[in-house]
Amino acid sequence: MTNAIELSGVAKSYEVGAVTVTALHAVDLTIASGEFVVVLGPSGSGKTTLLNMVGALDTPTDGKVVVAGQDITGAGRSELFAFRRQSVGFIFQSFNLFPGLTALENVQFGMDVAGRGAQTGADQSAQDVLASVGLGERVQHFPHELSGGEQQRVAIARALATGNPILLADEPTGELDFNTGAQVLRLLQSQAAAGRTVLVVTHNREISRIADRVLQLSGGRIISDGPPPDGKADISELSW
Amino acid sequence: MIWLKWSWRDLRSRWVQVAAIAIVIAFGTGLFSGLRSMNVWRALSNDASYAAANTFDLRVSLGEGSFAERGAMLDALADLGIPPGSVAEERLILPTQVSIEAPADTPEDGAILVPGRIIGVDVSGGGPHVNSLHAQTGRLLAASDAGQDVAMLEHNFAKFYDLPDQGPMTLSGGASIEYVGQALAPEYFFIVTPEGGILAQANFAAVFTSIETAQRLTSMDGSRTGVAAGGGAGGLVNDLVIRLSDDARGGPAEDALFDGLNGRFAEMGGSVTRRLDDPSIHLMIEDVEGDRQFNTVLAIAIFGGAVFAAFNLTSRLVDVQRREIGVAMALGVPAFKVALRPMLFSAQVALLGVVFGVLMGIGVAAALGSVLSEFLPLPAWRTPFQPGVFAAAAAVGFAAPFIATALPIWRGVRVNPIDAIRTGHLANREGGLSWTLARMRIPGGALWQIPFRNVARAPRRTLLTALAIGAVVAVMVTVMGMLDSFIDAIDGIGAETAGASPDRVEIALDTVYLRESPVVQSVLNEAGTTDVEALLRLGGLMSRGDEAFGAFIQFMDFDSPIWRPRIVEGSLDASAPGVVLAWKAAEDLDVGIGDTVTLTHPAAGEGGFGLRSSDLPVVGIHAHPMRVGVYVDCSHCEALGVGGAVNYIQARPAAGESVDALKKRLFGLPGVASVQKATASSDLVKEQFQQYTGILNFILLIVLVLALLIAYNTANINMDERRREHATMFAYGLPPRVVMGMAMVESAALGLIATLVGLVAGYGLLQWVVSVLMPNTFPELGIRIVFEPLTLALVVVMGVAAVAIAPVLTVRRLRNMDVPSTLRVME
Repeated sequence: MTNAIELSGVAKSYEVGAVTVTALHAVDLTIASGEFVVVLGPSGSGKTTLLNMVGALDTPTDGKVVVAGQDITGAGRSELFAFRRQSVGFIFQSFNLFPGLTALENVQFGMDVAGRGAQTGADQSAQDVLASVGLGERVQHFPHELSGGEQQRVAIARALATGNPILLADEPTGELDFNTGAQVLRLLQSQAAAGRTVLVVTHNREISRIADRVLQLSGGRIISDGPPPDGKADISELSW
Repeated sequence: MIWLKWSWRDLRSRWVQVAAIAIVIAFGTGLFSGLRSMNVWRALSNDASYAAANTFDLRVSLGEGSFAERGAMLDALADLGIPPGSVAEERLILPTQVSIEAPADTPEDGAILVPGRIIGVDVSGGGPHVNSLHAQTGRLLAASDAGQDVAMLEHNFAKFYDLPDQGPMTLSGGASIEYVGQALAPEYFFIVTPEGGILAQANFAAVFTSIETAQRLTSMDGSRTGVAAGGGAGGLVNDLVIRLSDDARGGPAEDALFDGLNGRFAEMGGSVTRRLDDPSIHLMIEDVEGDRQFNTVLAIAIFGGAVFAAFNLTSRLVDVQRREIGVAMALGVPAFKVALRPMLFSAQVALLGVVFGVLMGIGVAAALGSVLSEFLPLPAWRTPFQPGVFAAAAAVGFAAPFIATALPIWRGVRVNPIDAIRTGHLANREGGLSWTLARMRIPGGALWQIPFRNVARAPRRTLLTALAIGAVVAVMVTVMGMLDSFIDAIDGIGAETAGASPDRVEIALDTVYLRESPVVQSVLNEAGTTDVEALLRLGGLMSRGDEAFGAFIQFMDFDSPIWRPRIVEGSLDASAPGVVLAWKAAEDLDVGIGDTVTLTHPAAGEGGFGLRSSDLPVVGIHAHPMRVGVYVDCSHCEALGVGGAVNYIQARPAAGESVDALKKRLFGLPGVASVQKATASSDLVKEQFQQYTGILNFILLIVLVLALLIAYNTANINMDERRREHATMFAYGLPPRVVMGMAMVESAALGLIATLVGLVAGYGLLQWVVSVLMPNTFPELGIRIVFEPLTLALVVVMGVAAVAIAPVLTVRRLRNMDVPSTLRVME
């Protein structure tokens, strides 16, 4: 199994006024392709900073970041943009769909950005992706006409439509009720099963029970790394 | 107090947008107060100047070729009874040509040779006492100058050529005379030629001298024979000006005198006019009123843009504060207190705009006042600060945007608190038109859809922004359309005047001569000319029913090989007596081919020239934009009482003879008043008009800056509102240049809508200017709306481009966006 994500001694510090705040302390981490990894931790533990490093939304103060086989540590601005287009897909807590575009068009956006929009059958492909997340009947709806769960599924479809090998999800169930959240998790789990690497950041311990691997962060350090302590659970066993 | 502090924080956090809106409001109030101050100053200065110059109330001008013994016109007036305290003076006014050496370092080469007018006035006892002269430079004429070779030169002409305060000049006939100063006189504050030409100072020189000198120089001192009247020892005069006492002015006494003078002098071919009938004075007075209306409309349009922009900003601010408003209401804060914060915000924006506006108004007024007093010199310029104008502008400047913002605030505080607090996917969204527009399919991929969908999904905002930008584009359309229409009219004058003989010269004689007279024969036989024609031009009146206006009647050969008017309707039919009118005259009189008009013109009678009214059919309509030109074929001159009379000759220079050489050669002949190329006047008017285009181009620049400001504000607000969408795009790897490109496409689409709105509004405004305003100010000029394709393209490009580039000004914010933080912002 090849490594999808490799972090070596990655540190990140911010200057807040005269104070230096360290969000990550020399983190070493390797995630294999197809793994479903949940990053757990309280607020301020550095989990989102970690996700941003992997997604090339932020650059480390120190250390080395290799994602999808590409060393992005010293990459320039335009290289980072290109990396994001070709390697990762984002799923956000508050969905961040484009309100002016329909569900189908939001998915097409993902394809267009990754350069797949012009391919033959792209339209059908976008519809297929939406159907795969259970929204085959809602393609022409605008985001505000969809429920929260449906919006998040559109967001996942958008990320999937890029065809990129790594999915990065920041609190993907944060705004959803349990049943809807469970649907979303099932979708993410199925993507990992299909070979995509899925990295989920959350403070919800229940979610970590379905992961292949759970990383616990505290004070910018990984304090534990391994499979769920009580063994991998099925989504139907979760509750919150 | 907390609401005030809070609103200050709102102000500070959006200071860029606030500043942009305040500047737009400032432009509106500033231009309004500045331009209105200037209008008031012009009106005050006109009144003061005409009063200081003891401007005539009534004037009697004897017809072409008619003269009276000096004192005879005053005697006639005395017979009629002049109101006590009134003053009257006789004058002698005749055409001439002025030759002056051009100053060194000026574009003119050698001598300036232009047609003009010699005005002989009574200089005794500190006169003239009516239409008195103001010495702009040099000295006034004194009683001791009577009969001497001294004169004053009209200041506008002298200023155009940058002539010295005093110096020598030569008048037609070769008489040398010294001008001792440059004068301003009420009939020449704004130069209008006898043919109705405006902006004519470059090609018209008025020379003021004593009546005795004028008589001597024009041989009207009793020495001349062969003219319509003889002349005794006192010489001849042909003009009488009367300044009535304050009691009589404008009352029944003036009307009675007007009627009496008309009856008394009609037999001598005299016409009686009131002060406002004078083309120059009419234009000065009406121009102020026209300018006032035009400036008001311009300022209102610009101001409207500011109001819409302020309305838009406050609407969006209320949208942004939606949750806070909901929370406050949920906590039981009364609606009026909730409304206080956005109201205070909009009040402060309006106040800031008004403060800037008043300062700008003072600056604009001072700058315009200075330019205007330089451009239009008057004996008395009055420029007092106009507190009323500024107070009105400030009140409207504050109230209009403030009241406009009350609507979105009212809507904001009427919402159910729970709806206002709801976030994200649970929040209410716009329906109705936005629902329909958002579903419109646009060809292209998702990236291409976004800008257009953004425009379509918020039609109210789009409309407000389009109205704001459209208002200033309308000003641009009006100003550019005016330029096009004016230039078209001026080009029309030039083309019609040139006809098939642009090189022909017009030789004006100093009075009316018989065709067989030595004066006429000497010109006709001049070796340097070819195709020579002796003609007659007379001032008269054209009327039909109650509609009447001054006409410049030319008795000519309809088969002339040199020049004929270009006919747009009817024909140059000489088979029976008839007139050929300008299209503007036909429109004003509401006549067509075959209809009859009344031509009142000088005609020879038993006692000399008198006025005669002839009813004549319209045989043709010509294309010249000035309405004064009326043509009658010479074959009917005898029947109309002007047979054999000549005061004007047109000729082509002979082969090898230059126009300049011919001018110089003819200038010295006796009886020749002026010689000039036929197109000289229209060429110079076009040159003069270029000065105006500079001012109009400055207005265009301001308007463009305004459009950019409003567009920048919209782009800024959009960037604020779309920051999460942009952050998402960045997260998906879209580079900033693509995101910026999308913002520019969105702005360009908005700019296109705004430009279309502006084009429609601007065209309406232009139509009002041309069809309502212009006829009041320039009744003689036939002007049609012309909007050149190039101008249209320019407006569209400027309107769309100015708005499209506005997002570029926000590029720094976009590039410096903290993407992770923005993505995590919870609504």
